Amino acid sequence: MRSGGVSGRIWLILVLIAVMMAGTAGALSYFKFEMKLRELVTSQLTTKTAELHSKIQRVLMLGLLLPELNELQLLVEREAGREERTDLVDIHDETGRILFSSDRDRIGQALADYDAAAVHAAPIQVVTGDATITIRMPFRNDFDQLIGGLSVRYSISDTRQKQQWMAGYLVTGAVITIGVCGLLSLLGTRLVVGRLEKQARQTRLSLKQIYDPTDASATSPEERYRTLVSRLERGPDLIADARDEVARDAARIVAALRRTVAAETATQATKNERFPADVSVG
Amino acid sequence: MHSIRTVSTRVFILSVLVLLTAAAMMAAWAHRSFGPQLLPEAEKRTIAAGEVLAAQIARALEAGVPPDKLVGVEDILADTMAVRDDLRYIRILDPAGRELFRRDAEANGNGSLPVLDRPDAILDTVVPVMVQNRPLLLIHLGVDRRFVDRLSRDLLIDIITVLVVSALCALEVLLFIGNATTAELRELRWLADEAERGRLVTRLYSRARDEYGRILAWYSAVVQVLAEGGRKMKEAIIPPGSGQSSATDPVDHDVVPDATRSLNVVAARLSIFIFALAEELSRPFFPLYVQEVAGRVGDLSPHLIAALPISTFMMVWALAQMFGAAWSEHVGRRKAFIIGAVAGAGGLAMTGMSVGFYDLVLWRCVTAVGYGVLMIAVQGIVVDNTDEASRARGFSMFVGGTLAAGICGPAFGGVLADQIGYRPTFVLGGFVALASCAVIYACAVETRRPNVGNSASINWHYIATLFRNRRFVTLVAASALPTKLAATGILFYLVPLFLNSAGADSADIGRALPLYFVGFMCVSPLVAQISDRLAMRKEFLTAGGVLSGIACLVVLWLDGFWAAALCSLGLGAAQALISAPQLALVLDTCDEEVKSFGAAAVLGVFRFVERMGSFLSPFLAAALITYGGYDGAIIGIGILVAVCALLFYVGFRKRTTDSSSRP
Amino acid sequence: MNRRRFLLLAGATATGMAVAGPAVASRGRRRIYMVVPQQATDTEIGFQEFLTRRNIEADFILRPTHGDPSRIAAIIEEIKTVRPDLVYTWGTPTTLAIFGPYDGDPERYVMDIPGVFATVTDPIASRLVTDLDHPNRNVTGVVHLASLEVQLNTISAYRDIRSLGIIYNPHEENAVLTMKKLTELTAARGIQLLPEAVPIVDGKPNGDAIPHLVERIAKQEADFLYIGPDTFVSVANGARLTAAAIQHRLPTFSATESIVRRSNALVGLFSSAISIGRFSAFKAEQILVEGRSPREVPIETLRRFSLLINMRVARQIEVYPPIGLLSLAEVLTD
Repeated sequence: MRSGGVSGRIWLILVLIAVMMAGTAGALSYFKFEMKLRELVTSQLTTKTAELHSKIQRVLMLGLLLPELNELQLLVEREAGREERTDLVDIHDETGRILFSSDRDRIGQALADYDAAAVHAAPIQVVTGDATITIRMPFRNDFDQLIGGLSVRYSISDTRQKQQWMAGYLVTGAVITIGVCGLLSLLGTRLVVGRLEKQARQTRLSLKQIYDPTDASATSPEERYRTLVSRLERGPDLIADARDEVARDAARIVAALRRTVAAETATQATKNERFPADVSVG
Repeated sequence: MHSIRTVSTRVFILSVLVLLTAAAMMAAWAHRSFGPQLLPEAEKRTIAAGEVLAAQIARALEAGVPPDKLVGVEDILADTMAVRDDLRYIRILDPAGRELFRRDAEANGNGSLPVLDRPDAILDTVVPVMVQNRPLLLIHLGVDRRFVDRLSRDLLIDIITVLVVSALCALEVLLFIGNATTAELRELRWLADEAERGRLVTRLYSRARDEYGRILAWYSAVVQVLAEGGRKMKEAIIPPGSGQSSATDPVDHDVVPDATRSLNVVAARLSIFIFALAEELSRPFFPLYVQEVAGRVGDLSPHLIAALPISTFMMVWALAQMFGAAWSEHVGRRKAFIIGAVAGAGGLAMTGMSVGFYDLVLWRCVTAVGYGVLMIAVQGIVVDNTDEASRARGFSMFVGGTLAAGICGPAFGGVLADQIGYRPTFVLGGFVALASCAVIYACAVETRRPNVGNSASINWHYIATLFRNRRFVTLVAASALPTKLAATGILFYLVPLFLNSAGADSADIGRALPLYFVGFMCVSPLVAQISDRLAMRKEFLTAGGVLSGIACLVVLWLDGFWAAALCSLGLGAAQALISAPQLALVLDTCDEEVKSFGAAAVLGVFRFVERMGSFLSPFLAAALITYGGYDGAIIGIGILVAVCALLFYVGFRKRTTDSSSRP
Repeated sequence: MNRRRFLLLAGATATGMAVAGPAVASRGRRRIYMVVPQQATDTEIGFQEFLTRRNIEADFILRPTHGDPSRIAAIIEEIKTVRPDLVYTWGTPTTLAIFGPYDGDPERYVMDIPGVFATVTDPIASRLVTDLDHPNRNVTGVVHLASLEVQLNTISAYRDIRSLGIIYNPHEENAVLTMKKLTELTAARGIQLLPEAVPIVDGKPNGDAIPHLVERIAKQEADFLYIGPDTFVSVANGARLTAAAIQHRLPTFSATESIVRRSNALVGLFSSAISIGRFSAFKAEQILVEGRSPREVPIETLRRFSLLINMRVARQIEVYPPIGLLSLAEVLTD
């Protein structure tokens, strides 16, 4: 915050404010969108899974044991083929061993991360993978014992695509917003600080006439001193021109400098009178 | 100061404009996309629901029920609509288009949005009921497109919350900017003042490259020329080393311009605001987070487990401030702040990544150490950069910073927690805390005056002496401790648990907690004036205690959010009634001790003992929960505070003149 | 099919046991006596299947009673000598005959060997136990009937009823009890009960009067006719009853499966026999493997029942079931 101009600083702050607001608003929008999207997709897929589940549960009512229901194999294969989104349909027993599956190689294997205890806590389990959602629902017998379950994996790569698109869209929006706000800030800063800067410039130019720090013509300190002192005595009167505070402060400084120099010169003159001129630096 | 104020005001207006523009643009941009993106998914969901209905109806038809004799259709339609708040109607038509059955949302009690007959407001989806591959009936499900609008409306509410919070933050930042941007102007003013007093200062604190900076540079060059020339002239007359000074000698550069001082104070306020904000983010859900992370710890009850980290934090925080005072004196305020901020930031981030009870407590202690040191450093900066006259203002700025954070932090944190979860919110808090570091690092200048014993370093001798003062003990035990007990126990511990059990989400909790500070802010200015004018300190303290009790009793009549909100508000107002009079009363009561060790030390002891109340309160609250549940605990603490306040009124005697030991 | 094989195995073991006597060593194998009225039914198959799938090695010894008291005495004698690990019984009469009432004579009945019964209508009314949750004796089991509340709920789910008719045999204790209980329940729900007792002629109930009773109930505009578990009305005269009901367009409900399936009752709610068997085996497992005493194993009904709707009848009387109920039911079309 030490270097750069007043206007530069103001503009930077405003842009930062815009960035922060746009970023936060963008993040919030994304999260809201993602939550709603996930809710819609999950509820749709849960409804589908529940349909299949109740179909199978109805077949179970007839008294056969789950492993004996060989027609379920046909059912799961047909179900997996019916819809594009349905990746994999498994029917497993209470130990997690797969009894029927749309992928025949899986029959007999154990269902990955199946936890029978967790089923009691939350019957419908939704596991979100990278581009998939797996929904699991248990089967129970007539006295509520767990006898197995249905596990359906859906591919949601299109949902992921939507999310990515949304993220890009929001970033674009944020960039546009920041750009617009940046321009606005520039305009605003110019309006706010512009006039003041102009006044300051005028003041500085007036001050430059008294003493120009970049002027290298005078070489020795004494020469510079003498030039400065003479200009201070005869220099332009800023006070009359002082319309803004900066000019007024500058005028006060110049006046003070004049007084100081005058006092010093008087003192020197007095001292000169006191000490005889033959004391000299050897 | 005209142009300086002008600049500040205009920058403020600009900032608000920029904020609003950014918010509005982003909200509109997002809204544009919600519809096209979400409606197709809604349609798929509707089709799935429709297919379930179709399957059921098909089963009935296949079983031989004639289509016009179907029974119980409205019931299954009602069931479907009950779980879907975006369905406006379900109609079943025969192939000829005759409507056989119908169910509307209003009949289900779903009608929250007015049903307009604009055709494009409703998306009609058709699902056929197939029996033997022939569509016997058609199900029409009408979905209100405007659920998208509702989503946008929710988003807007969240964005407005962020906007309000940001506006408060922006005020803080602007206060800071106002100072930072006008530093050159004020330095120029100061140079002019000094020059008129005959002192020409060479060292400058601002080094800008714009017009103002060049003016300052001009001044610097001129002073240099005068100094050099003057010296040469003098050498011609007086031998060097004779010690006579002249008016053109440059002035010792340890004089610090006011501009720098006020910049330091404002930077301190901004950074404590930012850090406190980072810490307050987790206020709405901290006890809940502890319960989630900690699991079982030995035989302790879950409430005690949630209470321990809070108490430990309070204790370590108090101790850090006690010992940190001397340390910040030693290493310098700036360094102390930065170290404190880094420790605090690390503590916050790691708290978010704790895996169990013990490391959670550990990281909270680290945060407490950082926070305590930082607070003391900031107080030190305020003391270093203000004189007697401006000190009160300086401190009120500092308190104001923490207040503003107390308002913004929970609100923001609540919204964040709901969206991204507890742990990420902690980690984010860590980053925000680091930002506070950046402000101090970039802007503050070390201006401490060593050997000025103005820190409240405490030693045990002071504590013992004070405790021999009976009135001090009464004051502490009956008024200070109970109120701090109530504030910490209820706000930090009970309210989040209470609201959570009533079903509120973190955003709601985050909106209830700040009302404490709002209540405080509203009542406090009035109290300061009235209390001094009427010289009624004891009465105010009692009134505050009783008000706290009443605020807690609100829980008996109201439920959920409003109970917590009013309770917080009441507690804040009560605290305002108590704060200033209490401090004045302490100094009054302990005037002898003040003469011996100084006001700062006395107040320091007082604060420390008061914080013991904060330390104890979660334990007390946890114990009360087992007897009365969350609301019982709140009421219990309220009664305790009120009773103590009344006891205080009775037991705290005004000083009688004959107890003095003067001859 | 697997079931037949189980049956044969059981039968073979039974014959084998009857011939070889009770001298077979165990080696970890359990011995379970299964006492049934006539022959092994689906319930017994469910029982054996469950235990076998749970890898409980057991010899199942089947002992039909044929209702003969002397055979019953012989079976009891055999059980007391052999001392099997568990005794299983089917039906109220058999259960009472083997285990006796709760205050029965231990000399006369099997009281010191753990027992599990299946398909007892009302263990408390039959004086088997005083408390279903804590049998407090060495016997526990499974009740096959859904509670009357559940049955009434099912009827009400089919159709909103204001009056319910019931025809019962006053000489059957079971039937009278059911009627009395129904009176209480319907009164509590504001439903009018229209009871008709079968007239007794020469000390025996007269089945010919039944169609007339149905007509009387229909004339009083009953919404539904309840067919109770009494053997005379529902089993012996089921066909007559339901035919009359159809004629008068009166919907009928039964808690017995056969009456819906084979006779023409409209809707029935019953337990699947195999599930009852499996549930009894579940309780048996708790006793045999977990070592629990039957004293602490509660007597329960199933949680889920089978709903059967006879659509033929529905179409004839034009009283159709609601769709919600249909999706839960098994449907008989033709």
